[in-house]
Amino acid sequence: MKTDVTIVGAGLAGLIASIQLSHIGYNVVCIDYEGEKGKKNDLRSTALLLPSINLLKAFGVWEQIKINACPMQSMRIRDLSDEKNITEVKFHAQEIAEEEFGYNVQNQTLYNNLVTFLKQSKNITVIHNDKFMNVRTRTNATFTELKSGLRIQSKLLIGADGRNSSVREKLEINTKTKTYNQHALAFKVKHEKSHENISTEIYKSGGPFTIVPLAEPKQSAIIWMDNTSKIHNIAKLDSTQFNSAITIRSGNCLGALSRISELTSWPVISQITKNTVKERCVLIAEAAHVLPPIGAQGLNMSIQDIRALANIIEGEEDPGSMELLRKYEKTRIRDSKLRTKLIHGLNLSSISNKFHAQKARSMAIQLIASSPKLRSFLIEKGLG
Amino acid sequence: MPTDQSIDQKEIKKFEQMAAEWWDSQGKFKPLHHMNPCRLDYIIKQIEIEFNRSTTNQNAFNGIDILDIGCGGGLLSEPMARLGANVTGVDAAAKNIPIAQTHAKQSGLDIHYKVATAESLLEDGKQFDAILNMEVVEHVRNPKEYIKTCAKLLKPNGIMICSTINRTSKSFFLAILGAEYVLRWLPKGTHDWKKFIKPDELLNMISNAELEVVDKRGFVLNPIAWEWQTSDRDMSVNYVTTSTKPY
Repeated sequence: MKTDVTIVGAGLAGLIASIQLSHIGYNVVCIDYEGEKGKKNDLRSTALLLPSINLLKAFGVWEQIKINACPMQSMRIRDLSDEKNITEVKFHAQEIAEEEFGYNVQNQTLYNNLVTFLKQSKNITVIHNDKFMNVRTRTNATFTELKSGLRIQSKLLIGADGRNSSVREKLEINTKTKTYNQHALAFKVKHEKSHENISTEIYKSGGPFTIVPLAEPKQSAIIWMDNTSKIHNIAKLDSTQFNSAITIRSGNCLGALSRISELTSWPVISQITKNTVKERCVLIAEAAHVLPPIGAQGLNMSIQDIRALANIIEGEEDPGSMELLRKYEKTRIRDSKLRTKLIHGLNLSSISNKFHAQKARSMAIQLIASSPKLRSFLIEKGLG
Repeated sequence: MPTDQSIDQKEIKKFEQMAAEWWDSQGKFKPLHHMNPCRLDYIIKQIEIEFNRSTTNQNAFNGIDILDIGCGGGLLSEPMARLGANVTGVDAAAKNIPIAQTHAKQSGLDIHYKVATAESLLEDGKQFDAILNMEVVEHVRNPKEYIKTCAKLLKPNGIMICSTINRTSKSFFLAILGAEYVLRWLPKGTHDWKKFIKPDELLNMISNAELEVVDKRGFVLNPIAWEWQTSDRDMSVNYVTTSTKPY
């Protein structure tokens, strides 16, 4: 089998990359190890920031997603780390001259829309339930070998296969990983009061408790980060105990909370690779960088990887040439390193009991304001 | 040249000794042995890719006809035969053939060795799936014609792996002054720098022979690990190309 680009991984990043690269004229083969059924229980949600939304708009998938998305107009950060001195700061999208910071979408919604869209694309082939085994590279092509024995020849291989990337392992690219003895717990809740499109991060030693508004005014997605053993214990509570625990942890800001989904839980890490490219191969998204789930960075960074790569290889005769891949790496690596460092720092300070909401606020603004237009605005305001 | 049956005991002994010399990784051919694992890895990988084989399987190269030009004592022919390939090893230097034959016999390998040049093989009419053309092209009189002849010896869809030395000032210092005179790795006069071939020149010859270049890279000596490695950038001294014959 022969194509222009092989993409390993059919998670959100792999799907968006497939659509984006086919959109700029390449034939794409996407390897989906889990198959569609495997992704039915992603309970997380993503705050898509404006640059990401612009990309989804460009290939016409955004309007459909927007129907089930919730605009993020305000964010508030509450600091409960010092019980005697509870502070709260709020900031509004207008502060950075936008209607909204972005939109919150459940990952499942995003995924379903992308799959529907992808099925209509003529130059994308998805191979379901097959596993990447090896890649061998020649000057003029990569050969990707799958468990079934199928072999795909392409000009470029993209590893979008997540934090435990097998592509990365085969390419012998090392990672620098930091662990925090901290787990994240994700689930959906309904609440008494309306969320009014405000997302709330409540800090207390151990980590943040983040309430992200969903399209329904009385439903939110929650990510609770805390010490690993504490998260394990919380996950074991029965539903009455659990609901009371989360209502208390939320500081009652939306009234009583009750969980309306399953739980997912994963260890919080921060991980970055030294290199992201090797002859005819490139790592994107979590294969290249994993951040703690704070500040809406993860998928937005991944989408920026995809956008940068697409901009660089668009219209090129050989999308896998080393010259282009180095250019890509140079474009992205500084940004990825900086964000990884910032979020790492933010997470460390959230774990300690000396957390400062004010500091978090300025860091959050810095991170959100990733477009040049916004950045210049912030510099004007003395915030950048 | 003497065949296996006609050589007497004294001759056999002599060849055994010479074979031992060829295969002594610390002896006269030490630099060749030093480079051999890297060359071998490269060759195996290219054959694996081309014929979709995996050397994690036994007899991975079963059914593949390989021609090793300039086989010397059989340093490449033998590992290919071990992987199950049908190997023909040829050398223009007649004295190498009984050495290689003797060693293959000691190793229990069935390899077809003979004194021949690429040109003389053409007359036999046999074609091969893979041709190993390692460090030969810089020694032939007319490289351009030689590569054309090699292309004719290839079956359609076959591959040729060809390595040689670049004509740069670095290669002059390393390959001639360094290897031949200073380190005395190789006998003086082994190489004629003027006959070295630049990558572009070799790639042109290959394209001229209607083969398609699919891979090119350098062999570089890592001075810390003191090991040869391939490099996708540095082709300034030793380098290798793989080309395929379109169907």
